[in-house]
Amino acid sequence: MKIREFLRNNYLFVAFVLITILFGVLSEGKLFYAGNILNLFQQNMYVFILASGMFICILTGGNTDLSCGSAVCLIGAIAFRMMENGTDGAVAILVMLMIGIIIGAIHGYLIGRFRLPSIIVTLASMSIIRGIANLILGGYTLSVDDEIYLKLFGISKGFPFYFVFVLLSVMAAVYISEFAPLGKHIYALGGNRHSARTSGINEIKIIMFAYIFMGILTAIAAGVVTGRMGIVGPGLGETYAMDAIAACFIGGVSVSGGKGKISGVIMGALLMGVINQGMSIQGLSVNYQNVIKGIILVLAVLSGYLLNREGDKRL
Amino acid sequence: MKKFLKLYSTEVVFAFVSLLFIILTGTEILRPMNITAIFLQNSYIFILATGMAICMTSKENIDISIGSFVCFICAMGGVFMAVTKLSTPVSIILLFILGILWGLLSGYLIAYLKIPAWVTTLSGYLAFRGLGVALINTFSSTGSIVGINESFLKLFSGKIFASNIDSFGPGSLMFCLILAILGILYKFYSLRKEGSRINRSVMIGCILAFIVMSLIGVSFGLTGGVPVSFVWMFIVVAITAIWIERSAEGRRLIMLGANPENARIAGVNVRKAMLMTYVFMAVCATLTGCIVLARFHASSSYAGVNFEMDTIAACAVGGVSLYGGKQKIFKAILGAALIGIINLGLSLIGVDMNWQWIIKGIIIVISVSFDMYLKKDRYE
Repeated sequence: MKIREFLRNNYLFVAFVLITILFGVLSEGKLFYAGNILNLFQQNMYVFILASGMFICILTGGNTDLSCGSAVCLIGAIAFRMMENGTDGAVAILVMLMIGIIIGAIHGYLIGRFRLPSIIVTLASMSIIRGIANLILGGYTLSVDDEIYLKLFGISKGFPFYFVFVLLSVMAAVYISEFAPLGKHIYALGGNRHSARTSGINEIKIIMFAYIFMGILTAIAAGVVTGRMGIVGPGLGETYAMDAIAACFIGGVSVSGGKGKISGVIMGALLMGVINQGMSIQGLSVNYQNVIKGIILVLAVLSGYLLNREGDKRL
Repeated sequence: MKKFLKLYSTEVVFAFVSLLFIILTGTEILRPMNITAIFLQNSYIFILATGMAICMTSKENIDISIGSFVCFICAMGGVFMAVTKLSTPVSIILLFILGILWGLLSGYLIAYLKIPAWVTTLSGYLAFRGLGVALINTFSSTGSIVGINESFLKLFSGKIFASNIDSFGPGSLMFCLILAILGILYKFYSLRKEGSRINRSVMIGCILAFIVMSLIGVSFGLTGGVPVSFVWMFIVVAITAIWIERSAEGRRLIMLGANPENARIAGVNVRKAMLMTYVFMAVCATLTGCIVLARFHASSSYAGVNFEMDTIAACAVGGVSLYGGKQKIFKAILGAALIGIINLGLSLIGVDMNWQWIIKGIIIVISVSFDMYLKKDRYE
């Protein structure tokens, strides 16, 4: 009984330690090289950023955003196209934010106002956004040489701005979920939609807010990812949504919303990072990485269910 | 007006879009070859849409893993037949066992362990694509496994009532007319069973269906026979329609969709019914995988890309409610035909692949919103 209790409270930490040790042993200690640890963080910044946004979306009642990976590609593509045509880096960044907000607002309006299922809306928008991004890229890979952009988002020497962006995104999610009155409303809506609505919580406003927040974070993730690589190509971000969703569920966020802590999500993102990095060091092909990620996604939800054994709202 | 739209929205959209493409392609789309192509190239949408309509009968259920699963089945088919040289019947049985296993697993996770459908099938979406591509890459260096058994190809991609392309084959026309008459007789029979009269709209529908089927038959006759995939499609649709409308199991399913809580109280085994829908969906996906494998003559890593989008679009256009309830298989089929026409029409005009993605995404959003608009009072 005691072991079960301990596992229930700390299963994330236990899983993290076990998986880190597993990949540490498999890679013969290479995982713990300073370079690899820095890499681990830099290559998985997007997981932290997108997972923070996804967390808020899922909290509002199991709403998800499958399109964020494609949106990263689209936002990056538009910014790079603009800078290629001589637009100033600062303007491009503003445009990126605008697009993120617009995408989020459209999602939020369709899901909040019309009560459309988020899975269908974002699946459809994933297809739309990916199509537009490919049209803008025209099959080419774009690169960037704008100084401001690279300074702000790149990983060259100097002050690590990218770290600030990650920190800001996570802190914003912490503030919203832990301290802001809005956060209480989000939890209430996810916990029991009917009573939340009856007690006067504006559902449309909250879902709009969650998706606009997600859109802003998608724009930030686009900046950080494209800044690090310096290029945008077709196919960028295909598994990003999956990573973010998996991080949330590993972190113990309830699939139907209303339950979960940002600390768990951060832990989940870290775990996803270790898994991503460990698999890359092992030289596993992307295909097998996808298989493993798919299994992890189900296992994460399943373990949450088995450890809590709480009645779900679904029948 | 609203009532009319509510009843016939799919038909109106279908007529409008068909007309649009007839004008845009300059009646090119009406040539026998192209009408055959709708069924040849898009048979997967019809079969998958039927499965998806069943799947969506119960609330919040959806399967987005089907495209990847089709790819996985193609890869496994290639491995069975081209690599390990199994005979055709054994391979087919093995493939369907795989399909049923995945259906049972996903259904168990969704119905019994209450993991939301989108999470379960999302992981399937990721895992099966990875597995399928990995298998193909392991056994071939060119990205496709070739050397599928002849008999398998015949069974899933050949033509029956084969005739010369230059001349007209009356067998195909006869076959389609018999199918049409059977369908109409079934419609009359079920109306009588329900005790309703054969009114004008039913008669118009039957006449239209007869005309369309004879046109299809003529096209098949002019292009060298009835594609086997069309026959498979018809079998799946017929079995599903009869299963849903005539069997107790199907009635339970509809009840579950209309109101899960009531269904449970009335003694329906809700979990088992939900599990069954996923098994059915997986079997449909397996059949689709076989057809796609036979059509390509090889297992390709591009098999099944975006099938889930096409299928969901077909269901959405066909007015299959995302919130469960009684689904009309016929409407899903009409939706599938619509997506088939859009696919073919866009490629005839020469529209870029990316535009096709954009258009289909927009179609889904608009038709789902429209469905919601019609039923606003019900779900608020």
